[in-house]
Amino acid sequence: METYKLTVNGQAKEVSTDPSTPLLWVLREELKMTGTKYGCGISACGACTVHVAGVATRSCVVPVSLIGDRPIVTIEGIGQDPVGRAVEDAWVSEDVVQCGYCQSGQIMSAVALLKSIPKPTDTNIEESMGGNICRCGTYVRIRKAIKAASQQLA
Amino acid sequence: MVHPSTAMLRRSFMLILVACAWSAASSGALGQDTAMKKVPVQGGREAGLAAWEHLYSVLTHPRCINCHTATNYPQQGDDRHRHLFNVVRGPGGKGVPALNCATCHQGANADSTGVPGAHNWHLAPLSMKWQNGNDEILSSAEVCQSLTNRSKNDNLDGAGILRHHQQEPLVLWAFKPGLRRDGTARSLPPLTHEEFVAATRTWIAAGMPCPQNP
Amino acid sequence: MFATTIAAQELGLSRRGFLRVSVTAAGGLIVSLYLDSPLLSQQPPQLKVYPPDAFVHIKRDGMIVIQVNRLEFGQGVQTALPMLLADEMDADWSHVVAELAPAADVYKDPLFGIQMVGGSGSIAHSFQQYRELGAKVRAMLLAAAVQQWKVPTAQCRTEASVVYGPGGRSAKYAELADSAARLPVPENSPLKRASDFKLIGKDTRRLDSRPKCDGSLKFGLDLDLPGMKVALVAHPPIFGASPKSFDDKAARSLQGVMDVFEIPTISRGTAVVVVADKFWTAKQARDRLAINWDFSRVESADTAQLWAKYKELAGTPGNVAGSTS
Repeated sequence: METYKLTVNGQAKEVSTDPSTPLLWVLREELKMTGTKYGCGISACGACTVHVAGVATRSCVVPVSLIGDRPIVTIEGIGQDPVGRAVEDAWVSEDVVQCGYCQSGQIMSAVALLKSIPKPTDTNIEESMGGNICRCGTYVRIRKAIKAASQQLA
Repeated sequence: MVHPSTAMLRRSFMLILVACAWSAASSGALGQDTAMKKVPVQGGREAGLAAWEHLYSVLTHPRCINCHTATNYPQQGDDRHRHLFNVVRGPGGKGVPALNCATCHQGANADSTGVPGAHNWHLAPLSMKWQNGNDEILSSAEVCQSLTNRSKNDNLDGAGILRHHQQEPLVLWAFKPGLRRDGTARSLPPLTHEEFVAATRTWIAAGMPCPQNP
Repeated sequence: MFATTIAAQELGLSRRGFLRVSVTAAGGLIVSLYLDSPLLSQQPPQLKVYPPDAFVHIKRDGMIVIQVNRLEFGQGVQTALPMLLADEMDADWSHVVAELAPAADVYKDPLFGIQMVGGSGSIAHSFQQYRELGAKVRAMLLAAAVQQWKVPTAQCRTEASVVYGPGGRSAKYAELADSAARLPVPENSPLKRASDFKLIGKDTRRLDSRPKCDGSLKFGLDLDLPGMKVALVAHPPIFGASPKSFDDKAARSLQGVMDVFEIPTISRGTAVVVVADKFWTAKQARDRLAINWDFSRVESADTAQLWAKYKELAGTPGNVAGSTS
């Protein structure tokens, strides 16, 4: 057991856990922040996506011992960010979600995309979002909502 | 491409070890940078070519060549299959937003989840590809030419190449690649890092000779 | 078929039922209708009663909370069923909130008779039910306004949670809810013509988007009950296999592992379960199990054998699914 000081959504948090514990489980079980989802545990689906020092990161495969002092932003906090807010609003106005389980990760990836490429092309969207899987098949609306958010932010 | 057999490597390596020890003794302590000068080495060009084959065996091992692709994607595993999860090269070889290399690969191996890691994990540029567009490994001659072509190798001279082999974190990683997701150790290149550096010295001392295309 | 069944139910209800007004702690009023228990037990099993109060709550602030008798898993029922009720009720859709109903008899599927979701039954079996509920609530609100204003019902209309009367009169549903609750539940409230639908058949935004987009909605995996543990299953690699033996020493040595034991699987095999206080502990423990699988009793499928079996079965009498006569 080790103690880690983390910054999550701007707040200082302290956890005591096995160093090998993936950040995902620290967020969900130690900090009770269940917005970040467990979909596969092998970085294949993207449901666990958070931002670490601004980089979209798959929290299911990153042990908490490798985070260091890099700030973490989760789905619970991304709405405070103007890009995050625009993406969430677009997701609602375009009726993107069905079951919703993948959408935390989809939104975190979409925000990372838009922060890096404010006017993404279809290819940009396919390449950047191609690692987030949606069993309900909301891909078409995800693309539409990303474009809507991009226009809204322009 | 056919790799030289391990036994053959071991035999020719003994030859190089002697040559290395000799040249190291004459140029100072082992571990110093070697300037590219004409050092009389036992065996000369032949020793250099033999050393090159050792280097080639390491460079074309999966731990190295998986990131020296000619394609839009990296490879994974000892069978060098296309990296899963739809990751792509991206403009700087670091992936694309939301699917950067750093999205999963951190600054050190994550043995508990099977994800390898090292500082600045990324793909080698296309100029440093050691495979063709069909994921077939290039010949010894082709890789050697690529490595010694300063317009392709990030403008490195012999000293630069040696430094790269000695210190580059991703190179060092290949020799300590961590555990797979099933808990087994990733397979290692045919030389240790020390042997790899020693072979590099010999090759550079011999003038970085390249084999002819067959 | 549905219309007749429900009409009969409502008939029985209006003769025997009585209204009760209850005030909630939050200050809203629930239209209550309680049922005479002896009557219920006399009713034939297929008669079902749906008190509006179990489905609609008109709050003082104008919010209308509709209970959905299904689970929502993306198919949209948490929006569709409230649409039916809200349309008939002439509710202001922007003030409608949908909740997934708790476990109770009144929320059983009208046809299947159990509380469930599946079989493509949600709209098919609750379409009429939810429309009836909405129509009744509207009728009661209208009656309350008419009673207050002493004007003919025919001169009143409803729209977006407001009753409008002659001479510029209007009253919000939230204002009328108290008095409406004191009125009898109507036997038969006419349903809208399809041409009058405002929500049904129109593009409508789903009601559950926002909490699914901000991480606040709790899915099954997100449940956290006091004292809850995590169990992970080491499944047999082939259906029907069982452990010959397994070594759990390494698994049990991890701090936080509570137990390791076998359970039967649905494929007549046996799996090994690890129970721990946290997911990662359970996962590491499961990885450390050394299991020797016995494959001697697994099913071995053989295409030729299966075809032979199908042919044999096709020659036997089957169950009658339906009849045209």
